[in-house]
Amino acid sequence: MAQTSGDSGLQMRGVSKRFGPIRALEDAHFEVRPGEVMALLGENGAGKSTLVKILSGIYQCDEGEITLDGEPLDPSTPRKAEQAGIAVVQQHFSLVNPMTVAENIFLGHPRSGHFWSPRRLGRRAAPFLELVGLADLDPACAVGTLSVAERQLIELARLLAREARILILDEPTAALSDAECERVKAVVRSLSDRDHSIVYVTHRLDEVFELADRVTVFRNGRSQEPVEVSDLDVDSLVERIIGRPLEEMYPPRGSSFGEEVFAVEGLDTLGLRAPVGFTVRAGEIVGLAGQLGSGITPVMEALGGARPITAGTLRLGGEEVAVHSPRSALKAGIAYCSSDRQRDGVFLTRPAIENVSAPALEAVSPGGWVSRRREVELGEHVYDTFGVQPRRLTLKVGKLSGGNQQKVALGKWLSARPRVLLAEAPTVGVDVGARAEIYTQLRKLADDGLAIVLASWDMQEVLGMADRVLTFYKGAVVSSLQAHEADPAAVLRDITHPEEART
Amino acid sequence: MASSLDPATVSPTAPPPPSREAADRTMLIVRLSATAIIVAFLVVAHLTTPQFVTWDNFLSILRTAAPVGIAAVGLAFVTISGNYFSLAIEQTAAFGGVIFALCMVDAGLPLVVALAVGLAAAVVIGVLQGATVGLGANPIITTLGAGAGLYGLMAIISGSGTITVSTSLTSVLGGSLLGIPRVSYVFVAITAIAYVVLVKTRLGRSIVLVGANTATATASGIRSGGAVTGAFVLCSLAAATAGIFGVAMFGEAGTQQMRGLTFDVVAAVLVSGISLKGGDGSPLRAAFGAFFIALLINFAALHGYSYGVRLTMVGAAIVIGVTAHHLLRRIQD
Repeated sequence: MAQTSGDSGLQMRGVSKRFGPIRALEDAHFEVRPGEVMALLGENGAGKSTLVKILSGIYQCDEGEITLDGEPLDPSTPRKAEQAGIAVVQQHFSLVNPMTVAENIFLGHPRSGHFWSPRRLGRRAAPFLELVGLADLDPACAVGTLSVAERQLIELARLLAREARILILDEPTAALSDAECERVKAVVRSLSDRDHSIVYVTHRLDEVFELADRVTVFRNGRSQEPVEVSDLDVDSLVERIIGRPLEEMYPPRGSSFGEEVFAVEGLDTLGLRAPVGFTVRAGEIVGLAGQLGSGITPVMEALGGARPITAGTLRLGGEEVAVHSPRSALKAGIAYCSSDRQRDGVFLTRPAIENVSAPALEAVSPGGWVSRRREVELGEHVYDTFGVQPRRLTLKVGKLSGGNQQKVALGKWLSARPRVLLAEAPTVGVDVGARAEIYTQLRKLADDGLAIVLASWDMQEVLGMADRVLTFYKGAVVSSLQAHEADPAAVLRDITHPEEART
Repeated sequence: MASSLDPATVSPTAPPPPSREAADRTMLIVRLSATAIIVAFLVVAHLTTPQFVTWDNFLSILRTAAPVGIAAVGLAFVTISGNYFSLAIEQTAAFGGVIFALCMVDAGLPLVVALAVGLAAAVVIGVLQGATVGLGANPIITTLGAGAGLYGLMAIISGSGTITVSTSLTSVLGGSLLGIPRVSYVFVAITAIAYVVLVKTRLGRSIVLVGANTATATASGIRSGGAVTGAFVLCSLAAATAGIFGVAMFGEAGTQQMRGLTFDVVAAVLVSGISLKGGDGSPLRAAFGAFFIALLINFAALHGYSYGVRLTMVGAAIVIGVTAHHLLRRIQD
């Protein structure tokens, strides 16, 4: 890729930022050259977000120097950063859904003027849409009607329209399926070929090896020397991120399983093409693999009571149970942890302890009175299991890191003492260290006799964890594989091209 | 799109949370700010208004604050449950008062029975509204409709007139004890009960959690409809209590008895800093808010300001109060 003289591109030297006594960044160095894809990695709280916010003018650094092509740069407000050509694609989109694609691209644009015609705006938007691989998209359609991936790409187009030279992509693929990720990655490659500098923040290490030229790892607010990706392999990269040697990311599989705990027979619900059936034994982790739209979410929601079951029976320990709401599912012993913790997983504005006790509210409030003692006991138990410092129990969940939030979202279900745990994409948006811990805990829970159904779009996760894998494609089961039969090629084939798989 | 205050925008890679110390310090500032505003107002009022700091005027403030405060403490539950406001406060209060008065005067029932019937009517009103809102109806529209309905119902059963209630019948409720109006004791007691209900009971916790995130509460097996219904019942009960004490204090009940109460009560909750997003806040705050509104009303009355000026003052207090709390919460987060 482009290799130019020393001070071209963006340079940050000796940057520090403190929040009260907390040092978010300490003497950090960072650089990105024109045409380069620089991966910015680190665990949650390592300083990545702070760096991005300094670059985009949301925070000001306390110390340090920032230069662009050798010229001093002062991104003290978002506007100044934008004028300097620095732009950030956020994880949470800033598009206005009811407005058209073209309007969104030029919304707030410095030269958008006060009057425009839809057609002229569409013409102006076209080259940028082409740049992001959306040449076929009608610029006059409303953004709200598009897929998440398309919206992510429009966000990119929007920044290109502002002539951004340094593009910071903050986990651009966190909410996308594998196929959709490919589109985003293709666009990133073509942008770097056109000499844009890309800062790519991600938790998905496979993307780093596919996309990035170099990697800068942050740990505890300090930067490490940038490294050429070609000099790294996955293990050495993970060790750099967590700062210690890595035991296996995935714990060893279960060896002996107990009796059949959970049996699903002929389950049908909205979003499925064909009824689904499977069983889970005590101690077993059954993985549901599939892309977005493959039907794994409808199955999980139906089993968890969040989506009406139109046909089929569920048996727990041989006895038929009726599930028609999350409440009835929980009472029966089925806990469903959805993939979207901010939507229906946690109470961000409430302390962790109240989050943890919520699924067991009746158990901690005998006679209608909330017992603080029982709550604390439950909270400490869950925190012990998931390795969170107990002093964080009183903190609002919104103030915890993503990894700890996820541990609360997952761990709180233990309060209800379920016999079946339905975990959907349990490590979405979670850093490597916390991921490994969550996997270890899930396996330990299974070993203690819990039946676990793990559904995920992340094929590696299902392959790494499941004792048995069900592959889904377009609302139907394609295959059921034992762990030793489930190699990545077979599973990928089944979740993408079932016709070929059959022949 | 979510505003910068929306907790949903807290990204999984948020910077490390500020230390406990710093958080405690900002919390302290937030807590003190309410007190500071009240103290500043008292100083200004004292300097500009000769009769302000007198025992009689203090009693007058207490008398004004009590009905507003009792109803505001109840309304706090609705706000915390994430359902903004009830706009049927004054109708519920008047309705409770009318039922109470009819029981005492027309039916000649003993005071305790009349009280019970009045409060039972409030429970029915609360259940109907709460169940409707719990099913997903907009709380503002539902309570606006309920208010109109209650008004009509009252006009029918009370013949649009006022019902005079001899103060001898209600002397237990009206009047003073140790020189302080009885209704003020009731205000304090209800605030304390409301606090315990919110913090210590399953119902209170359910209301808070449903307000914080209804989807998460439902997924956690909490009956959100039940919690919302509970919040509306508590709100109605408080409003009716205020109305019944109004009857005792003024010696009459009628459709017009509580006019303007809804605005004062909503203002009390707004200036109190209870989050309109739900899931946060306390009845104590609502009580303080009511006290502050009572100070304003009293100040306006002492200066002989017209109703228009009074409304403008309360309106300004709402805008300033809401803005200040908004900014403070932004610092805090």
